[in-house]
Amino acid sequence: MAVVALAAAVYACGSSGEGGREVRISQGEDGCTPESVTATTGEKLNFVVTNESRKEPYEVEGEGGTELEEIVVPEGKTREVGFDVPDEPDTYEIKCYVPGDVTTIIEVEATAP
Amino acid sequence: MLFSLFVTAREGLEIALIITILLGYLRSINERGHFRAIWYGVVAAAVLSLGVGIGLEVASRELDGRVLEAFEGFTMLFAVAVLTWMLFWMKRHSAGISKELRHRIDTALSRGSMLALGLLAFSSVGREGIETTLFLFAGSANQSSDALFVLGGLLGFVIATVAGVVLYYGSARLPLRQFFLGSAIVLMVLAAGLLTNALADLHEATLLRELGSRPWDTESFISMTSDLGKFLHTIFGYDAAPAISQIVLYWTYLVAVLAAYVLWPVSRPPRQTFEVAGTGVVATTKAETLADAS
Repeated sequence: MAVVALAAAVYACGSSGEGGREVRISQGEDGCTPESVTATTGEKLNFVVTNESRKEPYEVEGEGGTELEEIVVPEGKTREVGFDVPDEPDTYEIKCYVPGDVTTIIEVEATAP
Repeated sequence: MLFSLFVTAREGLEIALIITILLGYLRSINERGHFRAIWYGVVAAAVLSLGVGIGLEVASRELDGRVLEAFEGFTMLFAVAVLTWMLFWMKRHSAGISKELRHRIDTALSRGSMLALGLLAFSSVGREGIETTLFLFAGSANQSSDALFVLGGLLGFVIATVAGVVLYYGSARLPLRQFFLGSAIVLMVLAAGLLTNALADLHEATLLRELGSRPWDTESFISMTSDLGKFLHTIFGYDAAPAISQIVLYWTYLVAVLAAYVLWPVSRPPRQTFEVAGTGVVATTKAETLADAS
């Protein structure tokens, strides 16, 4: 247990936090808003996702090769997840959905600064 | 990393003990020539375990969405069931394992069967190997770094290998009894975490419609996406806002299994009583446990 406690302390010290420009996403009964976000390449975004519906589990994850850590947002809760916009100008897709129910593809349009 | 390290150190030591018993007995009866059959069996068991692991990994990569969540959820439940059963089996039968293995070696040698010796090593080690593979695969679904997970697993095997060499050459007495008790408790904690993660996966797969209310939310204190949150999620199944069913399952499993493990009797082989010739002194043979085998 001492090893676990020590490791936890080390992990805690190494925690980077979210940081980046805050982008609020709302999860509703019929899907997620906004459906598009503009960003510059290489920018760091911080998605603050709130489940305002009565649905569970509401999830957010990368789609079509977009690298974004999956988060699950319980009903009435808010969760944050960081997203590093790639250096290549493109449209990156993020899937916001309830399995077997509503799905919204949020497009992050990344342009060169 | 710690998850894979704990699992491979504990399971690896069980494997090392089995190999030590097999080789040690062959050495004691001057049958070193049959070492090769044992090692063939061990290598075959390692290949089988690796194959099972690769099969599970390939299967999971072919799946996505709800099917993948369901696959991972059921694998976690299966891994917890196998691990729990094996922990109790090992405690119950550890007293007779060394004796049984030696008896099976004698039987194989009397038939002059190298294949039987190899199969003995293969089945004994393979059982532990597949158990290790299952638990590692189940735990890998929640790890935050592939590289660290693999590193932890390799480190655990190195520790187990070193312990096995020390046991074989008898250069030191290791506190095996304490290690097995301590590591069993750690594995139960890891298994309890896997159970709550399995519930979450089955919920995401929509196989479970409701998990119940969520009495608290510690996201602002320890975020699920922070390094600490991920670490606690892997080890303890930490969820910032756990559902009541997850909380109940976690603590029910942990308390029930821990209490049963502590109270579970060890089955010792009947002691053989005999009179030391001409002395009138009555002696009994010492029961051998897996931990005594060192």
